[in-house]
Parts: sequence; C-alpha cells; structure tokens
Amino acid sequence: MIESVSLTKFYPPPIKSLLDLKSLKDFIKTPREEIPALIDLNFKVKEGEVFGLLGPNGAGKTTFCKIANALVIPTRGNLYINGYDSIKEHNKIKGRIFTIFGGERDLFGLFQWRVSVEKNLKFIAELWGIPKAEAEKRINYALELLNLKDKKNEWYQKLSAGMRQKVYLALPLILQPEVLILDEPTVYLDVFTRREVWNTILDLSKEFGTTIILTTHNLNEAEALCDRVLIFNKKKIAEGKPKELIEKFQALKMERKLLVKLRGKVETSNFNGIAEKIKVYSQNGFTYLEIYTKQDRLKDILAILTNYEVVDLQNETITLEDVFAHMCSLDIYVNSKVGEKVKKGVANI
Amino acid sequence: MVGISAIIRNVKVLKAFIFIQKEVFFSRRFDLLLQFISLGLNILFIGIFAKLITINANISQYGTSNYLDYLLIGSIIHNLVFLPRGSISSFVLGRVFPVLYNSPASLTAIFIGINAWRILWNLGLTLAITVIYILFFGLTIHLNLGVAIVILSGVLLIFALDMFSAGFRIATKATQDPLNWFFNITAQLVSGLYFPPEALPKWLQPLSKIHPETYILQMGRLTMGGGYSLGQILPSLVNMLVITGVMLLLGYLTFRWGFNKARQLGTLGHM
Repeated sequence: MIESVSLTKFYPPPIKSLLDLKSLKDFIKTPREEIPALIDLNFKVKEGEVFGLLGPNGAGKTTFCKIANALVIPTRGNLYINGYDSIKEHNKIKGRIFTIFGGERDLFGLFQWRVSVEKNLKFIAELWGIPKAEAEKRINYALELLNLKDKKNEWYQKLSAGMRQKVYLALPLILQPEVLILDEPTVYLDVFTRREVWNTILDLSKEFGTTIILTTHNLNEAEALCDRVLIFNKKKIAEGKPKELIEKFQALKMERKLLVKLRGKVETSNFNGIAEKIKVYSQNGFTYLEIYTKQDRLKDILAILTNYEVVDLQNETITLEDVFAHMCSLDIYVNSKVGEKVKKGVANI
Repeated sequence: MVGISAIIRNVKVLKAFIFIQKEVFFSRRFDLLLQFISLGLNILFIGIFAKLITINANISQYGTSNYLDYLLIGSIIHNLVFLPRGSISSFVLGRVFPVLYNSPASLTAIFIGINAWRILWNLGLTLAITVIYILFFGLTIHLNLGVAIVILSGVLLIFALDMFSAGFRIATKATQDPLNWFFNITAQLVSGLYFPPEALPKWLQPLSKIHPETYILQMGRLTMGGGYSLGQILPSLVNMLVITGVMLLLGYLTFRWGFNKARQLGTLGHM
C-alpha cells in the first residue's frame, strides 16, 4: 500500500555545480550547510494498517508527510502509494490520500470561519466529487459519530479548538480516502475528546479499511492505536508491533524496579547482595521501598518480602514511551560528538 | 464523453467555490455597507475631480471628447484589466493550497474557483460604476470587438505578471510583492490613468513609453471612447499581443521554476 524506499531529504537541496572543483581546490565549500531531514528511510505499510511514525522533534515526520503529499521533492529515494510514485505520479494519487497536518487549527483555511459546519463539510465533499445525497448521508453519519450533531448549523468560528479538531476528523469519514495521514491529530485535545478521536481512528481503520499513518508524540496513543510503529530520528531506529518492541526491550533491560508499600520497619541489610540499589522512606505510617534488582533475582526479593506485612507491590511496567525514550536517546548519543569519539575509540562511555 | 464529464465536474467545483465565498462575503454585512459607502464616495469624488480639472493637453487624440470621459473610461479599463491581480499568489501562497493540491478536482478549476467570487463581484461593481457614469455623468461608451480584445489582452498581461511575481515569491519565500506593487503604482502614475502622459515631467515620459498599461489605456480609450474599430487599432494591438504572449511564457516559466524550487526547499504551503 505504502512503500518508502531509501527516502532521503536534505535541506537545502545539494547545489549542482557544472564543474566539481573540490579535488582541485580544497577551499571551495558549499555556501550553506546541508541539514538532513530524512536518511535512507525504508518501510512498508500494509492495506488497512494503522502505522505509527514516532520520532523526536525534528525527526522528519512532517517532511515525510509533505513528501507523501507531493509538496516536497525528496533528495533521493521514492515513496510509493498504491504502487504510484508520490511525486512523479502525483495525479494518480490525488483524492486517494488525505492529510490532516498537525498544529493547524483551521486546516490551512479550508474551513471558512463565518460559515456553518455543515456548509463547510458540503463544500469540501463537493470538491472531492461526492454526489450531494451521498455527501449529506456521510456528513450526518460523521457528525453523529463525533457527537457534533448539535453543532451542524453553528458557524465554524464559534467552535472550540478541540471541536474544530474533531470536525477535521469528520473529513476522512466523509471523503473516505484510501490513505489517511494524521500528523499529531490529538495535539490540542482534552482526555475525553482524545478518546473520542481514538475511537474514530479505529472506526476508520476497521470499518472503512483506511490505511492510516499516524505521527504523534503521545506514545500512549501510538500504543493504543497502531498495529505497527516505526521509531526514527531522520533514519530508522526500530520497527515493529508496539507489544513486540516492548517485549524485546523488556528482555534486554536487565534491571527491574519494584515499588513496595508495607507496615513496620525494614532491615535493608536483608537485601544485601540481592538488590542492586534500595531506597527506603516513610509516609503516612507506611514504609515505602524502591528496589532496583536484576531480573534473575526477583524470586529472591519476593521471598524476603514474605517476612513483611506487604500492603501493595508494583512492578514497574515498561511502556512504548520507555522503549522510545531509550532508543532515541541512544541514537542521539551515538550521533553526538562524544558518541563519534567512542565509536572511534578516542573516548570511553 | 470524458471531456463533458470533466467539464461538468469543473463547473460543480466552481459552483461550490462561488457558493461558499458568497456565504462568507454576505456574512460580513457591515463590511458590505462600508464598501458601498466608499464606492459611492469614490464615484462622487472622481466625477467632481474630473469636472474641476482643466488639462493642458490634446485629449481628443485619445478618442475621448473631454477630460471627464478620459478619466472615467481610463478607470473602467484599469479596473477590468487589473481583475486577476494577485490571483495566482493568493492561490499558491495561501494556506489552503497544500490540502487542495491533493484533492481530485483539477487545479485549474480550483484556481478559477478560489478567485471566482472576487472577480465576479469586482466585475459587477465595475459594470455598476459604468452604468452610474453613463446615467449621471453623461459618459458615452462604444462596445465592439476591439474593446473586448484590448481588455482581454490587458487581463492576460496582468495575469502573466502575477504568475511571474508568484513564481518569484514562492522561490524566495517573500511576503512582500514588490513586482506587482511597482507595476500597479507606476500604472497609476505614468500610464495615463488620471492624466495624459504628456503632462508628466520629461524625465518620466520614457517610463510611460515602456509601460504596457499606457498602451492598454490608449487602445481602450480609442475603442471604448472613440469607437475605433479593431482594424484601426490593429498595428498597435499586434505589438501588445506579442508582448502579452512573451510575458505569458516568461510568467509561466518563472512560476514553474519557483514552484519546483519551493518543493525542493520544502517551503510550499509553509506548514
């Protein structure tokens, strides 16, 4: 459905000179430094899949969205949507792809402020060539699903920012594109609206078979919605199902953290040689322990805890956010100047 | 069959644009009232101004019998010719472009659609002004093929210039539009819009001679005011059409260059 092949983008694009004099005169330099936005990004998204693009700020998420929309020409590589090159065969993907860019409250002025929600949606449906009766049916369905039916005749400018964002989500329900790109779709939303939006995204995927590419900084969102995710920072870092990535990370992570709440005093020497580190503090008549231990010593820790009146015990759960933070910080470190020196053997970690 | 369905589809897109823009326009009723007030004042002042002024120039060589006709016909032609000003820039540099670029509607239909209401409204206003000039200021006008071709050629020239300017602005990410600004301001000052070019100081007259609007106004006044036929203005018109053709080509090439440059730089749509 979507295939990104060696997608590379540098800003500004490399300057093509008629003669390459670099080998003759070493003082000739490019006028501006090239900033990589994407480096050899490769991945495939299957039909009907919800695919998460996760990366820190400046990772290249918006550049990817722009390339998919033929607004940016990649320096190298291709992006295929349904087998069509997003740049060279742009005409063949027009109307099949719809993008809601993040952070844009008025969707690039597509929505007219002093016009009702319904008339705005009808106008966009007409641009997409949806017959009037069908458009009306879809608009009613979308507004019902998003709990916006009572806002149908309201001027768009009278809606709150969160409601406007929900109205954007009505568009893929009405236009029913094959590919939907959502660039941070819940960025301004409260918890309740965010959950409504999540349900709509899942509906789109399950009910209409829409292939969805989701970029977000909310890792809970990615974990809840995405079938697969790609963690990248200009270049690919990891790819897979969120659960699989978490399990892999869990297997790699040797140290565990246990949070224990108990009654009475604790003899920390009992944990010597078993726990790597232990923190003890008291609060409201309870004793709290933070125990850091190796995975294979968990059994021994639990055995010691049977001697105490344990009220509560929590095992630190690893989330996609932990995996993301670990992998991205590692990547940022490896690509930093210190990391370069470590790789060359000049410095140690 | 495909051609007809594409035309129907484009007409529907145009209708949708006109409908939504009309909704927005009439939602600002106070603005509309103010617009009519300023228009009324404009007409009144131009009329009074034209009656009070005496110009020491041979007005009849422009095909108009008096200065009032000279000024009024000039302003009608100027308004009509400048209708497409800013149409390309408002489309490509506008925030709506990135979404519409991927819609199944044709870009031409979207482009015309985005500008349709503004052009229709301004065209309606110009026609209304013309009728007021005829009824209340005794303006005499002639309508023939020559008038239509002169105006069309002028419209295309301004469109070409706008393409040129938009290409430049997209490539350079400029928020200002110096080219259109310069063309517009010089059109008002040196092309003979308000007074004959020979009334200009000698050192400004060469600028008047190279300004395309000078010739548009000259031919427009001769045909619309003096009733000259197409055949009578043909030699000058041919030159004008050649310049328009060259400018259209240049404008298109500059626009294409700017558009592709912006796609390489990632500045299209300014997301």
